[in-house]
Amino acid sequence: MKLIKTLLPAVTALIFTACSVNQVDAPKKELNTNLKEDRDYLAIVGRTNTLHIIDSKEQKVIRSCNLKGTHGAGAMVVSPNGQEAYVLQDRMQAIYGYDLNTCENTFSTSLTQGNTRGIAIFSIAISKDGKELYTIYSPSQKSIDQYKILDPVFAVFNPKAGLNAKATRTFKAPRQTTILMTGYNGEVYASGPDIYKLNPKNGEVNVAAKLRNWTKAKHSQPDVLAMWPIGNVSNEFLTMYTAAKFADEKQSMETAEFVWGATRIDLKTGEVEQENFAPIESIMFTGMTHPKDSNLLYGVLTDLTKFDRKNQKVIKRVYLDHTYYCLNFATDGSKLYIGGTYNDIAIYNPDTLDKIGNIALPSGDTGASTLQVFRVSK
Amino acid sequence: MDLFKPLNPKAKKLDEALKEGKEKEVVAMQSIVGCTSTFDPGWEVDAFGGVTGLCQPMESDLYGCADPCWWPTQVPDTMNNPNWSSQSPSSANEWRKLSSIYPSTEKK
Repeated sequence: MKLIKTLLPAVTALIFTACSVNQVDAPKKELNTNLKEDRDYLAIVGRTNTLHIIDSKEQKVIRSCNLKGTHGAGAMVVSPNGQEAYVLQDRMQAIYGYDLNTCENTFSTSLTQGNTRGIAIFSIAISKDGKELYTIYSPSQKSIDQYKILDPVFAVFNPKAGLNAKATRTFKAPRQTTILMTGYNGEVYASGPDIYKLNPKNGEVNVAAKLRNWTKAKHSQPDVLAMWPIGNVSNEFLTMYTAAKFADEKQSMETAEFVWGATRIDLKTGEVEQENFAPIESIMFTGMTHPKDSNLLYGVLTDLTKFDRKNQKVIKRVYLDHTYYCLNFATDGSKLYIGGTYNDIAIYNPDTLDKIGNIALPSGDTGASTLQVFRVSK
Repeated sequence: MDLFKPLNPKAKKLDEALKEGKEKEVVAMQSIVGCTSTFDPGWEVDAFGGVTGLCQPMESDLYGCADPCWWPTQVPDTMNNPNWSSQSPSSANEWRKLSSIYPSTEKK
């Protein structure tokens, strides 16, 4: 996974005998300590198949759950009440749910059935009321002499359905989609050739924002990298795009500028914004706007950059100790966290971009895992 | 396509499809989604023709490429080769224990 793809054609030392879930690298006194409501927590999956829970106040890992199944690519969402995490595992062919207080495996479903392999590319989301879990997966029927590609499936699950859960509803879905996010209106947004809006009640699919099919004047088709389902802290579904901006209708690449832009869907109002925000000066894998000011966009990869969207300007850029894929914000916007690739999370001041801390994770890369920030409520 | 020489099994299949007039059955997707045929260059150069845009250090990008089956030529993908990196949870410290993967070629 390299930068160029965006520019060119883009889960105990104590063993729970009842549930076979282990917890490692955490103090025993905290094993049965519930998460507290007065602080943010961070969650990220690392090798080898471990879910780390980090206390933002203590700035340390308080719990590391050894996950069931096998590693996926670390795509993970947290329930709105902060009590469970759902992780795409088994090489992205299954979803598992875990109690964040006990590490207990509370949910599982396999997207692969018999000789039909189902793979969900970073596709996992949970409804705002926490009552439904969503994924879009692509099934391939493996026969002796051929693979038969079947229609992608938009599947709805009850997160409380337990182990070996079956979908409560399934619908035909658009092809080539990756991450999902849920709006407060109940709609499910999916990033693909365009950004789709899916109704989980009846499977109706609409285009929320055009990408491949846009008609943006003097612009090439955009490229989008969408692998990290972040944005909840800022109530947004935001994907960044790169495109060539032509000087005139001749669309000459010789005189074209190359720009960054963002498609931002407000998850509370459903409002869609799609505008360029800066020339391409460096590559970014994830971006989010500040929880208290959506004009400020932050992007990360090998550098961390703060943008003024309205004025299409770089406010500040700092270079990082190493590449990080995924950023996220403290729920009050006071801290910016970056993670992914190696086994640490760096903390930055979103105002100054000064580095203010670093949290070491147990050994094992986090790779392309989702870095989530959440709070607990009853 | 005469100027291109296929170097890996997937590229060879694409080449064969072209020769057999079945190219429309083998289409690189515009929206790249896992284990796909891409024509991006490798870890050698960035989009600007340099190296400063590449992930730093290089090995930090290893599992981000391998796990989602993004870079199937330069690194074995975890999706199809789940054990290739099982002895190397830390790419920076244990890269020497990474195993090699060899394609299962069909004899013709």
